[in-house]
Amino acid sequence: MCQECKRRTATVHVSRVVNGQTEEFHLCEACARERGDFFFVLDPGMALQELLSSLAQPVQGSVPVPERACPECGMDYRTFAKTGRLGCPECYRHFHDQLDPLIRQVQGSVRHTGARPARALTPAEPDEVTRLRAQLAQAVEREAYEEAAALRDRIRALEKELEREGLP
Amino acid sequence: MTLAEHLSRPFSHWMAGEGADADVVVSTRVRLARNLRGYPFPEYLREDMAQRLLDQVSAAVEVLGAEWDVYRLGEVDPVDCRVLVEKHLISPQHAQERRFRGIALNSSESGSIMINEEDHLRIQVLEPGLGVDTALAGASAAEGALGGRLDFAFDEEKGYLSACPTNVGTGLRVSVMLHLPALTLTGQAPRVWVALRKLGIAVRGLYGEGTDAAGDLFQISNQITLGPSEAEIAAGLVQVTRQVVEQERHARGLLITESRQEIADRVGRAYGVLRHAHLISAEEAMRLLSDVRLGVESGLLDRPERQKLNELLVVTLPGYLDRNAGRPLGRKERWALRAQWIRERVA
Ligand SMILES: [Zn+2]
Ligand SMILES: [Zn+2]
Repeated sequence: MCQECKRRTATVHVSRVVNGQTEEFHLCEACARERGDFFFVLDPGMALQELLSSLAQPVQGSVPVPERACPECGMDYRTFAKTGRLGCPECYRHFHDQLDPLIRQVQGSVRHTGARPARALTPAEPDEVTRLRAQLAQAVEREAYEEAAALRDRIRALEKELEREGLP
Repeated sequence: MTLAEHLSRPFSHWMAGEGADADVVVSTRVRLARNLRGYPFPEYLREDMAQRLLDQVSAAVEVLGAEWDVYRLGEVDPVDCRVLVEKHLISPQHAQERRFRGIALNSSESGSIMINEEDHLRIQVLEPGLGVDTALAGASAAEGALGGRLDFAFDEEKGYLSACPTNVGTGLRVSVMLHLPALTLTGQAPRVWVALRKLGIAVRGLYGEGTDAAGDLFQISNQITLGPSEAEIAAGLVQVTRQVVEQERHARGLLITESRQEIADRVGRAYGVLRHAHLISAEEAMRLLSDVRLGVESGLLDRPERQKLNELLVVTLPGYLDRNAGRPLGRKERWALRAQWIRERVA
């Protein structure tokens, strides 16, 4: 029953953290809307988050739960299994063995193919060289020798740079 | 621009009523989640680090230009925070725990950055209508500029690292807000939702979760953030949205041809009540505004214009009403003030 009107069935359950205390409200839709407890949901990834939390629960016989907390932030795996949230970027590496299957199940992939920071270009540059080589082959095929020469220069320059950085 | 200027103005860029498919798509939101290397995620930040991070991000926002300002939520009144939520500029979670949190806003409110929410940065762009490409370009540009000043946590395999693995990779969430009165009225909406969920698309009512949509407004958004590129995620959502838009238009067409009198009556009654009511609840207002919007989009009514209807979605909410009155209103006062706003605006 709705706490506010004490008439309609409570269908909206809101919990709110006020000064570290969790308060719960059980309201009907009409009263919840009146109080402004209906909010525009900025992040509708909730369904996935719930799935993630359920998957993160330690299951017998699966990959053992690491005892050691993340060296960077001190969060342990059990906390993550409860909240679905990690402590710091380093957690991804520390809990890699547990997280990978989880992420694969939730996201369908474990390999990012999208944008990357402009500054962290170095590891991407072998790809860049590959791409330029393909362009070079095409240019030679088309007998566009001026273009080919320019591409060759860029490839040499890039390779030198990569060598300096100790990358293949 | 001062925060008070943002808050006293009902209008926000997303309410313009322009853009592609604006007869069905109210607005588009794109957000990118980013975190700084070397800091725990916000939930695990010590106070001094949270403060330092807020300072660092605030300084970095300068790179975005003079039309951007940062406001520290710790210094903002709770009612003002509520209005930010009602204008779709911050999340309710962000408004709840305000210490060491911030919001950066540009003057048109098309861009906003939540600082120290679930992730260190949530860069968002809101556009009217179906404006996914514009919004994504805007968010990426802001992200790129900030990336020149801030060291974002990035992993070669997993991409951008986020507090919750459901955001990892691109950190991209694309959402569109749809007005679907005809699909709701004809009982087809649940069938559409089932199809969308199978495609990995999340569906939500505009306000709240697990409840019926208020005012026939729904949000759909991508669930998957890792694997496909940003452009692929955006294109997928646009494609799905266009299909829903077509179905809604088809259902509206059927309603008008097959039940013209009933629809005209419903729309006309809604308009009459909104035009003349002196006390109105939020629920009734949302319901009737949806009918009136359907009337305007189907050519049964020639006013109010879309922008007015969009503004009414916000100015009839409790935070906005309280803030305008300058004090917390009682139930009856609120109903009266709401009715007054509506009467003035639908005329
Ligand atoms: Zn009630
Ligand atoms: Zn950690």
